[in-house]
Amino acid sequence: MIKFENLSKKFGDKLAVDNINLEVRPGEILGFLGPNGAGKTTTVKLSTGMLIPTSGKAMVAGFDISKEPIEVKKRIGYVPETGALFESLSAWEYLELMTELHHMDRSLAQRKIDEFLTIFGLANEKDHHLSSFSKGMKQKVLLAAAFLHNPEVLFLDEPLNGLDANTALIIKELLKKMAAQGKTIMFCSHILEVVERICTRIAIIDSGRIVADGSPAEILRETSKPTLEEAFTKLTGGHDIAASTDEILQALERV
Amino acid sequence: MVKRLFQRFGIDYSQWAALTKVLLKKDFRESSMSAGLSHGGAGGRVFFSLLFFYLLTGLIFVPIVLQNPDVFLTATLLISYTMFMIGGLILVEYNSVVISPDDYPILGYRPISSRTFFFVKLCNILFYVLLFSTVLSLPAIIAYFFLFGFNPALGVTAFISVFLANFTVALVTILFYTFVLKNVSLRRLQNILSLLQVGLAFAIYSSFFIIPKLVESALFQRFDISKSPFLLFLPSAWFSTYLKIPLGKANFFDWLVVLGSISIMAILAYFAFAKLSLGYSERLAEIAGRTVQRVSKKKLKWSLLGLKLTHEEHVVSVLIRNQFLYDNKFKMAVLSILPLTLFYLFYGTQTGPLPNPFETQDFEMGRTGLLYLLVFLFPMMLRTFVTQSDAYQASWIFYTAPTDFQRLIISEKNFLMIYFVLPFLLILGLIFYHYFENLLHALLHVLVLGLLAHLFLQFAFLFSPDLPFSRPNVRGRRSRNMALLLIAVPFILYLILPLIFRVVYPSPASFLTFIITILTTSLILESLIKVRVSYYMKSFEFTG
Repeated sequence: MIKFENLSKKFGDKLAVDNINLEVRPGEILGFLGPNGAGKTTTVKLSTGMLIPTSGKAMVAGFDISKEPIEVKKRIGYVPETGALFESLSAWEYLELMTELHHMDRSLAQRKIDEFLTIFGLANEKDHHLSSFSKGMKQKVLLAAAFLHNPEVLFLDEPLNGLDANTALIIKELLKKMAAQGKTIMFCSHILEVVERICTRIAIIDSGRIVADGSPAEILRETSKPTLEEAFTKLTGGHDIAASTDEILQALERV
Repeated sequence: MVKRLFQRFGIDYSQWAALTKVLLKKDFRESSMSAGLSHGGAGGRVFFSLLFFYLLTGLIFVPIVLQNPDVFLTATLLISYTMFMIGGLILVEYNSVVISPDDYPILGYRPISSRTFFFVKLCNILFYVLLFSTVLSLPAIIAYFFLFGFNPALGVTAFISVFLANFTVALVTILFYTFVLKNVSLRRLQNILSLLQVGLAFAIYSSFFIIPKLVESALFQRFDISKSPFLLFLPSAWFSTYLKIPLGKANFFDWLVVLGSISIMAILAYFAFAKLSLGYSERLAEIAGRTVQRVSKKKLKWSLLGLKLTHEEHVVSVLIRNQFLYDNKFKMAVLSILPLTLFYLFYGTQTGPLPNPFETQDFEMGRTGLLYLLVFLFPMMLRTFVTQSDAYQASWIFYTAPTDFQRLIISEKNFLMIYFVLPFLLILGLIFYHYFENLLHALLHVLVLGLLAHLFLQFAFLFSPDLPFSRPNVRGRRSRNMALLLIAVPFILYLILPLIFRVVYPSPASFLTFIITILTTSLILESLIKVRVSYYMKSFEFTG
């Protein structure tokens, strides 16, 4: 379970997250959408303990992240948007590092690492340094690292970045099944079609505030728009698409 | 007028102005951003403190210039020093100024002529050469102004000669850098640059001792380029010849040397022109894009000397080991201690063998102090190296995993001791054994130094506990920190060590008491670090 109560985060004078109230229940996949710089990644960082809230509360898996960060971190898996890894390590060493940080039983961890590397097609490259991996291969390592300790709650920030179509399909299906098993998933993405297909609920954030929260159908009904794209544009103050393209064309032709 | 002049040389004035401004802004902001800030604060502070440090190092030339009337000799020393420093700085800290793999992907498809791009790069380089030349030589230049009464012509000529010499170095550096890039892999280039970094550090630390010695040396008693033609092989001597002109001492041969140096500079500029092109950037981008296949050779065990490692200890040991093996910056920063050890050992034993503190009641630090200085400087340097890394963004894992930060930071300290300080102490132990000819004395001495070094490391972690490889490298921060340590540590050392040697070493009882005291202090400090970490970590956020 994820629950934000009046959650806010300020960077200097800028309010990146503004008094958010949101709840994601077990078994739900929440699609967390928003335009660039809206506060998606900051919200996720606040939920995972990477940033400290300026005010408000973030409850994850039944624990307050500010008061009991270790209990929260034991129960979460996270795929960061940046995809940053210690590239001097091999895939095997990196995953082992993750299991060590999660205090997993060492023999069980070894078996699971081997299994995950095989599933993701990285078994032959397991001793190769991450610096020589492609973007998609690195993303697979990040996903494996997030799943290895079988977390209750998953925070996935653009998890399909760089993945080939087959792996992306597998991950999408896997997430649905994980949710069916009762896991809570927060899924941040800019790809609206993917969000629409796998998420049971959608929350849209704009300028640090939640501007919509509901099932895809509810959001379409509330905005009276036929597609999620149009609903998103309306909710986030995006310009009328036809008018915007006309403006661009006019600017292009200006002498 | 200016626009027309640019046009005449085939340079687009507005492109040049825009790109020059942006490149300087970019350089400055990159330092700030890597400091984890969205404003210029820390990056700017580091940059200005680095300039201040170089200004301080330049002070060493003031007494040399004022006490020695031989302008040619003092100018040669000054120019040699600044040439080495500028070359090293461009290669190590500012190599992106020369040519960067990012240039082509950003500018390659824009309508910029090669000549404009070259001139932009040249101006960028000139800016840094002018800035660092000024800072490094300013104290000496002021001294030249007042060397023979007030003599502005001599001061101005000194400045011009320093600047032109350093500009020549910049051109040579460009050619060297581009030549190396063309002929070796990017990985080897990184190794070469890292080695140069070690050389640069070595030059900075040793210059304080070598330069005054050189001035006293008999070699420089008859120091004149027309009398000693071998000096023609020393480029700094070409430029110091300029200073004879305002003094009215330049003969025909000196004028030839001056003209020759200008011609060489022009030839170098001509060759550098071809290298500072967008076409060359394209090749560089291609080289940079190639990935290097590396395979981990050996997995680390979960135990050390029969002791089972905790999860955090294992994590830290794997990270430190791999970063040391594969992160050149970290590796070379750590290894820079070795040439320094050799140099300080050489210098410390110039007045005789290293004294055995168990046998010498009246222990004088003297030059030997330099060797001891390293034992204490090294752990402090290591703490800085292990927390800063280009891979700092990957440290998000520490914040999202249920890790015990106290254990992580204590392990970080312990593995720095095990991996780096301990081998260094063993080398010192061998050196002491060679001089003391008493194995027990050498071992006990190393034990005391090891315990004190550990205490220093504990203090460093107590004051600034940071997770491993979790802070960005800020350009110049390392040099600035080193400068601060070089000023602070000797003060403490020269106060404490003679006292310890006099009071502790003479009797076994006092020696044992001292060891017990150090161990107790160490235990207290360990607890204090844990308390500090638990308090400090509450406000700790990911820098990424």
